[in-house]
Amino acid sequence: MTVSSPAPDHLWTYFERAWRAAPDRTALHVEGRGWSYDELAARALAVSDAVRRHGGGGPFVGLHAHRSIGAYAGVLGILHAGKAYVPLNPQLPVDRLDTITGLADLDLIVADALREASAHGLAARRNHACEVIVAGEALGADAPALGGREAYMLFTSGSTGMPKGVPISHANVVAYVEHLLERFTPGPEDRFSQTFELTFDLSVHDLFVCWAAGACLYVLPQDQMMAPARFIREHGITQWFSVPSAAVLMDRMRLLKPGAFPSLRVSAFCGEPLPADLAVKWASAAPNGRVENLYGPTEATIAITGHVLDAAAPKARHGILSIGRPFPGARVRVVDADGNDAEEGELWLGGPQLSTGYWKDPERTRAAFVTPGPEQERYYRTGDHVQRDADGDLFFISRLDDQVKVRGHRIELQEVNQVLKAVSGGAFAYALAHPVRDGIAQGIEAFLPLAVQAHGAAILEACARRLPDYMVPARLHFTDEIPYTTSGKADLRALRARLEEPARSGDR
Amino acid sequence: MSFNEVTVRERIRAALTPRLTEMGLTQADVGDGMSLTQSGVLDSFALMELIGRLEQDLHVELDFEAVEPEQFTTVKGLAAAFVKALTA
Repeated sequence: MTVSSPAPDHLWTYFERAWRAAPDRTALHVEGRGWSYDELAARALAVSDAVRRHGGGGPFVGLHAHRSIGAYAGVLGILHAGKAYVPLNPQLPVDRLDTITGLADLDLIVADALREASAHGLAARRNHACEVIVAGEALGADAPALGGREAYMLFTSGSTGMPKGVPISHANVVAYVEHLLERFTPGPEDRFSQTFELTFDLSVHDLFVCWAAGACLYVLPQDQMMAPARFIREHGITQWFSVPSAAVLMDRMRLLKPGAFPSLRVSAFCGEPLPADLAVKWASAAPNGRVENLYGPTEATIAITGHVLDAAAPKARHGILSIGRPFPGARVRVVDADGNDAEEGELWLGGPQLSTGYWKDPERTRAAFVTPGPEQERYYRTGDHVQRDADGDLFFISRLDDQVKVRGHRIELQEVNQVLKAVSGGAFAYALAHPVRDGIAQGIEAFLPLAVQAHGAAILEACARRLPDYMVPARLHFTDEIPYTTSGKADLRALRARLEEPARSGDR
Repeated sequence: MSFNEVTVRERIRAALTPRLTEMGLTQADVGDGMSLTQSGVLDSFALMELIGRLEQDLHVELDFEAVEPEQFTTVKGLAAAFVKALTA
């Protein structure tokens, strides 16, 4: 069906084709029940109708919903109405949601039934008018979709202490989905996992690769995210997609036994380094499918390189599986410190999946999106340090800056430092990703001056009100002895070495 | 040495104490049926570390196939799972 269809210019078209082809087929399984394409379409069209009646000049509509029918009807309905959705994840602190609402200049928020009150709370914090629509039981009539440039905007951690908005267009996502339909060959019989939060762009893979194939999306309930083995078996999931951390936890629970998941046809991982031995273990647990390691930053839409695991001879460096080669149509450069193409250096990405840049932030856009040389090709500088082997396979080695990944979440340590300094009143704050196990950071720890030691608990509490939980330090260390490098910067390597030492006094 | 749910709960609570102190919380703030992960006391990795330490202390391994995922995030559910494993 989809393989022969031409690439659409609107994400709704993927859903609509599947809906027209088989209206009674199940599109979504969430909150313990299934929803047919017809039922989901009716809910989405009701959202679209309400969004269009609201009017509003801005391109973005907030979506305050979580793992509910309203969340998925909300995504589809907002897109159908010609707007782009900005996920306002109810798990984030209210202050963070308020910041995002302001940065995206939202004048409309779509909420699911459970979040009506908190959506009104967010709207009330806006000085100008911001309205709330509930994605509830209303059913809408069939209508043509309105066109729009952008499909969604996500906010990533920013080094100045403010999150950055990354707008992604329909064309960006269509370029991705078209490749994935060939790469993962999904069909109507497939059962897709939905593990990712909507604030994480990998969720867009779950929704639209699934619906473009006419398949069914199985949303993991929050309380099963930690141990999804039973969910995979109970629902016969065929297409699994998660951060490697999910596999690490399952491995620690001894759930990756050989042959444990016979239903899996494709298992894909993305969002953080994938340890090769973990990938091999997963492959033995899912013997009827293949394991893929995908890589890509939000700025280049979901994922842009990929590698199929060869379980007999995994291709890895420092124990971390290769991130493979660019998708067709994507351009990749490995650039050394002098700006020359090299076998090792910073990874630059170009092609149809590239965002236009950061929302209302020309300065940071100019710094990250560059057009070198006379060929006038745009590239996004990832800040990821990579190596490329003779076969053209890429290997992630490290970050070139203070960005770290904790359980797949991208964190600018500078943003954590800014918040720590503000809430503690201390003269300095140095956050580090620690501990790092199997190449995966497990959390954040931070150093603060002794003068604020008495307020440790209050500092953590204040952080939790302003930052997503994965950015809140798990542990604070108090010291007045900060080692400095010759260039006068805090020597993070030396600080990290202190964390490796046995417990020190002054810690909490 | 014999274990029952009360003694195992005490073990779990003792293991939680450093984390609670760090967060400015007391044992009274954590109900037996409260999810340790969803309440933010522990993230999923820290919970697995805690379970790993308890497994070593009690010389037993939990059967995660048999435990409901939502069960082992609470003190009560975790204690029940350990008692079941210890008496198996």
